[in-house]
Amino acid sequence: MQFLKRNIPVLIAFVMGIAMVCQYYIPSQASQDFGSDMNIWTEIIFAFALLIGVQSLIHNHTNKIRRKQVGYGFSWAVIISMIAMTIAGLIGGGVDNTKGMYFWMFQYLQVPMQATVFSILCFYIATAAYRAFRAKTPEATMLLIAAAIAMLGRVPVGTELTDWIPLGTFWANLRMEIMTDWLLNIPNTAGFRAVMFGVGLGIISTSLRIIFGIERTYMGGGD
Amino acid sequence: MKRLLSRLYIVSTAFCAVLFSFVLLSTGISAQEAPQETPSLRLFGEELVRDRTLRPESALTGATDLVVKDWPNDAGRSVCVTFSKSDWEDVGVIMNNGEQVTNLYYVVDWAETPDGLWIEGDRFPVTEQFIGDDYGAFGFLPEGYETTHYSRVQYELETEGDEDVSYEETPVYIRVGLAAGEKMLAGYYFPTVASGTSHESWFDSARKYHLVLTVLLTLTVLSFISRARRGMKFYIRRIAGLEAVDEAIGRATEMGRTMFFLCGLNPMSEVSTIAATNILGKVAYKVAEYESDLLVPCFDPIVMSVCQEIVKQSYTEAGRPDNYNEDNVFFLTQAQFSYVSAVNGMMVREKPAANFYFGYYFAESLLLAETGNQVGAIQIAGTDALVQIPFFITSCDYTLIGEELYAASAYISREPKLLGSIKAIDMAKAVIIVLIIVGTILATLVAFGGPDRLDILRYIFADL
Repeated sequence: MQFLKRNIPVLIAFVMGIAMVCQYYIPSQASQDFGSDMNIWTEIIFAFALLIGVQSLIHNHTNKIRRKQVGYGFSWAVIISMIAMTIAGLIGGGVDNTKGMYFWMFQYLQVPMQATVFSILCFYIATAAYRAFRAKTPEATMLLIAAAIAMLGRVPVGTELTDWIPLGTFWANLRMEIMTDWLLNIPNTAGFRAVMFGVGLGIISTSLRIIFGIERTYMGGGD
Repeated sequence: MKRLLSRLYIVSTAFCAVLFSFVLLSTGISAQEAPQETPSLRLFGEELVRDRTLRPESALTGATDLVVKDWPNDAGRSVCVTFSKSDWEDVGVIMNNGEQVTNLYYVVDWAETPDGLWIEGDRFPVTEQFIGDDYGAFGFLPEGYETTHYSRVQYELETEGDEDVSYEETPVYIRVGLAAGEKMLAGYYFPTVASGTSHESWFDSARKYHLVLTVLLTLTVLSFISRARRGMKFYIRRIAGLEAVDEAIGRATEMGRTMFFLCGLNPMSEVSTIAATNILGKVAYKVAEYESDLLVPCFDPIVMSVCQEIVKQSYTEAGRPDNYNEDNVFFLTQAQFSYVSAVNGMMVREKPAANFYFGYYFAESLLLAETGNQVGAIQIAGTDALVQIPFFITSCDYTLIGEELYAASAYISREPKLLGSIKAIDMAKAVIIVLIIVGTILATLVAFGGPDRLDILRYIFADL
């Protein structure tokens, strides 16, 4: 049992990990075909997993309704919507059929609702920015100044403020749009790249731990 | 005075916040209203469109030194076509039926026989696609890299019956022409026709330095893991966000409230999601020990299945298998903002005491973290999504930045084998810092007219 549950998955992870690393360095047709076959397998597994996901969703919400948990009305909304979308899709076809009911529901119900949730981000950004820009420490003050310059340098009213500084002189560096470009291209890019190096190395390290079976938590088996 | 300053400070901060939102909105609006590209056909007049032919008023020469070679480092079935820049390219205008034609394109056609059916393989503006733009495909820059055009032409040879055609033996014929505009059929061809064959490569030589570094890094990681196994102790700097995990779980237990753990929106095939599930294992173990509640709403059904196994195993290892509830790890939806709505709704209803956001996030990061902040939860985030890090820093109590996400499971478990791999990565970082410094010095020397051989070294460093 231990062999099936622990050793076989580690062996599969090792073999497939090494195979995919090799595939990255071999551009031949056979290697490319192998890579696309693996992608197809991933899609097939996903299709089966989606059934498990739907089962989990239905189970969870029917339980909530049965127990009359707080907000169980939303569970009704989920189940009714899911059934309605499924029936609409089976009868009138998917999104491709622009005259079908599914397309209509997708285009005029789901898309606007998603857009509404996305637009809430605007208010959240305002509150988050308010908190971030409180100049409590020297670092926060620097952040506030940099953000103010970056914002002003990106809008016409900001660039108008320093429009009177002549171009081609040393003082042109103080023009809002030039300061903004410098901030974004030099310190900001340098910071981004430093984090990217760390992320890249972190990904390699985690991949190696998984390929060599050192990290096994992801398969539910602890270390 | 103090009051006045305080009000001034509040007003200015609010102004910045509103301005920031305004900039974000205006950027979005301008992106939506971007003008459509004008069709280039209109530039050339009805006459030209009708006969679809380009007839320069004086004989043009071009592509006289046409060369066709195998395109390196690919699966075959594509050739590299090179030819020198022509003098008239700098003028950028030719006369056609008394009209000026300005947006000229090179058209590269291929055929199985010199007098066969010609098929367009590539089309690019006459001022673009010089070898120097893509030196990675050609190795070191050959002579004339700034004045030699290149084109990659992919082709399919016709098979005879069931027999496969050998691409290594059958030549493909190439000719180059001129087209006016991006979408019109071309009508003017240079007389030179060249041929060549293609073959598949078994090693991508453009990635040779990459391979060397990967092997070195792998050996370093394995060496440090081996040292860790032999009992060597490593110093790992303190990561405040991970130190706070215990505190967050303890707080939730004392308050008798639930905790949320989110694994991000990426599928299980992404390393960031695997790293998140690794952390979930450690967090679930502590939650099980404290006999508290952990909810794991998932965006991906495969991630959900993995998370269920991990949490179950953690509860078993903590000696509390009976406390494990499979319903606490569940799938929500695959739609980004529907997922946000569902999780935010649960947060508002359940009022969790602690939220953990690990993995990769997109625009939903702030929506989730701000809601968590508003319900008063202690929040710990860790992501390698660079543009989302500032949002998490703003709204969460602790944020793991980039690589810390990958170090987290090792840090929490204190397992020597895992800590060894983190130390190896620190060593790799030191090497990269040295490479950056040396590369910068070389680039500076070349910029100030240093010897030519330094230029070669500079390209090696660029490849690395």
